[in-house]
Amino acid sequence: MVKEEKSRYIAFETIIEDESPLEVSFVFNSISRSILSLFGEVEASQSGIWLIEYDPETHQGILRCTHKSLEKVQTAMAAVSSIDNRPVIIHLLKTSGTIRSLRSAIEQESTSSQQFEDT
Amino acid sequence: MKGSYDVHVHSTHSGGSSSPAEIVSMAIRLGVQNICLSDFGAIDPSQVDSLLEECKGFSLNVFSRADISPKNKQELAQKLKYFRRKVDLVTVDCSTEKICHFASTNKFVDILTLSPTTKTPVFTELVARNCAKNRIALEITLTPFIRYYGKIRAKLLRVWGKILSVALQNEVMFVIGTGAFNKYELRGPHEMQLLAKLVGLPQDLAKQSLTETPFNLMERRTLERNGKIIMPGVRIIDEERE
Repeated sequence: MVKEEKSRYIAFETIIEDESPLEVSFVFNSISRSILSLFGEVEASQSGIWLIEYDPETHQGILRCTHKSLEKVQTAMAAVSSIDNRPVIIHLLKTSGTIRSLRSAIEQESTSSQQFEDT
Repeated sequence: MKGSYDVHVHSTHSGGSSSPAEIVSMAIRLGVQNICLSDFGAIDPSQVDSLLEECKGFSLNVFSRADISPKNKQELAQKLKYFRRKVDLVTVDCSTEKICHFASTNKFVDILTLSPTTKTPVFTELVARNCAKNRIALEITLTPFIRYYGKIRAKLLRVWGKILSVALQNEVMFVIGTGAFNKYELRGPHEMQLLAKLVGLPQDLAKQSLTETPFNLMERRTLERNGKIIMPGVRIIDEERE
């Protein structure tokens, strides 16, 4: 029986000039191009990246990759310097083994920071 | 001040395109706790306090750093004398092997920086041994690895691989700085650690280079400036007991 490869989910935000919305395809293409450029075609094929979601308004998204290539994918994301010819930072927020726990961790964090701001 | 450090950031005062306030707010957003503005070699030292004042009121510590690019030994000594007591960190840009050697033997130097186009021979075994002996750190500047790609980045990684192997063999300390010229070239501590690892720094050392090493460098200079260090190895720890 073939053992299914474990996945990892990375929550990230894009920080871009004037906070204008970015197209989802541009975000995904720039990350995959960065993996290809840094680690080559073999690693890109094994990384199994997929953009689960990206909200152009909040600039936050979740990317899936394989457990083995997590660090390489994160490094490639950190090395992205522009998307659609606009300077950008891809800020890694959290990593988890399931989307559910990732979402609850992000929600918890945003609630606690909101409470901190309110006080 | 413990926490993560970005020891190399430029603002509009030293050729960058973002103001100190913009840099500081972006660094806070990314989770950096301390930054060193590299503007102090470019401005009049009398303006140091006013520039630091500009960055006050944020939940992040801003330190001053002067970058020196001397052409010879005399110029190096002259500039070190001028800047040493005025700023927190003094770094020397090693353009030639001679400068690199002179800087590595001078105890007033905190950090050595190598330009992105540098060749391995600049950072020799002898320089590495001197750096380790005089507690001078070698900076890994991350911006070139973000800004360039393809052949140029491949060449950079190869050159830095060689430099790191010499430095690691001789137990040289490292610090990590983005060398950012605008706020979009800044990176968070986790991202900086990952990029340093890409260059070839082991993970534990990358973490240490972001936190402990810059903290120790700052503490040493602060104690010296306050007159708490009498001579190397002898320091006043409780003045009241005297």
